[in-house]
Amino acid sequence: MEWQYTTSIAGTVLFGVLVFAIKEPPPQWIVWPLIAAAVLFGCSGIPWVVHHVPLGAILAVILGFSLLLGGGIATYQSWPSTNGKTDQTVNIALLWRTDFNVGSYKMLQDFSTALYKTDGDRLGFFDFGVGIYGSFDSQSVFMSFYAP
Amino acid sequence: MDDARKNFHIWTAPKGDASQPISDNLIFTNKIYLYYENILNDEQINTLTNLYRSKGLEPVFRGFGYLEYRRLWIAASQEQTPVLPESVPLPMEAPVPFIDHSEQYIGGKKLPSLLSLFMTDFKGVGAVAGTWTDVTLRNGSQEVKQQVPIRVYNDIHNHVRFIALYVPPTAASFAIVKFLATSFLDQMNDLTKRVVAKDGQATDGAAQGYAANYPFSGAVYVYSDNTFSDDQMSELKKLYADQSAALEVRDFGYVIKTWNEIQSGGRAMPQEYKLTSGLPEPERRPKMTSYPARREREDSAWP
Repeated sequence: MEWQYTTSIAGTVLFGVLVFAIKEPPPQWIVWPLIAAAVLFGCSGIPWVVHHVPLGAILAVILGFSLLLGGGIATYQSWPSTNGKTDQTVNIALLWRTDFNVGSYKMLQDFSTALYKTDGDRLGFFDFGVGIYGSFDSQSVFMSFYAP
Repeated sequence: MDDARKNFHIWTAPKGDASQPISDNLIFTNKIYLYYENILNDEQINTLTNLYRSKGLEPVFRGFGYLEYRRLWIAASQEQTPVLPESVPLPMEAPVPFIDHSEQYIGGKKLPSLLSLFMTDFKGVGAVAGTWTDVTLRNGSQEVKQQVPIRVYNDIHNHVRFIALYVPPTAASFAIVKFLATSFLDQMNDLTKRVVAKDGQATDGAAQGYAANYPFSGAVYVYSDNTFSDDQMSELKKLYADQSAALEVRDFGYVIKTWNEIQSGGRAMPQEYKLTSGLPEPERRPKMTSYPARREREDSAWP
């Protein structure tokens, strides 16, 4: 077996396992280009390539392809409408604001009020939200409450 | 919900869209979805469930469990990540939503209203004179009119005078208290003048002599059914301090303290009052409850 094959397999396994082996793995836009580079390096061990393509050109192709792949993944992840990134922003407040969009009427309001302890001392001034949802088809209305 | 039924029907559709009022025909399902950021233990969930059910509501709790469920659902591409809808700002003419705190209950018992405390506090302090002022505030095309009862006390023990104001439940409470910072001294002096000249022939000299005997102590008590934020409170205190006055806001916290005093027997339950077009008047009790003392004795005599 050509040494390129050995290096390629070792590199692919190393970078592939890396994601699962360490607590805080590098981002995907780094890992996947490394794996791709390892696989491409293995291709450089093919006899025809070894005899017809110089090593410098092979390394340039590997580097260019890896950069292209890394850039593509980074762009995809940072795109607002893609699931990978926006999953981070799903929280209770967003769900309260976006749930129940199918009815005839939806109204959300933010309020602030002071709350007091049982001895009358002021606990603080707090925000909260109230939602009212109506359906004219079913002639019904229900409510929601959001406590930050 | 009551507020929405009463007020929101006058909101116009801001962009001519399909906005519709919550009409009285819609039946409230009693279901309320509770979204909360904190982690509640089982006991707290049970307590809250019982509390909401005691009010006739059916709570559905949506906390971290619900959040994780939704996140997993989104991660599995079973649904789209929710996107905030474009919100439409309130029309300028729309009334500011307001929560009326004037009637409060603890353990099913009605607490004394701030109006009744305003009318019955400072008993035995000396002389008291009452009046009211009409406050009109403008915010663009919106005009707010509110009648504010005023009581001026002459403390015969300390030979000082002080003033109490009651701001009825309104969304413009802060603006009204702010406005009164520049006019309460005039109101107090005017009332003093009218009291001194009992027959209506007031003289500045008499009022001044009265004022000399009872100089203004600087105490201003504002009874407000609305609560103010910390920033608003600081601003109000500064405004009144600029008039050499020390503002004390008596809000729902004061009601709780008074209620605790009443419960411990340190104070009697005050007579309830109602707002009128003039001075507040005592509320007439229904016939069935017009003899509370006897009723209590009867109850206590029962086994």
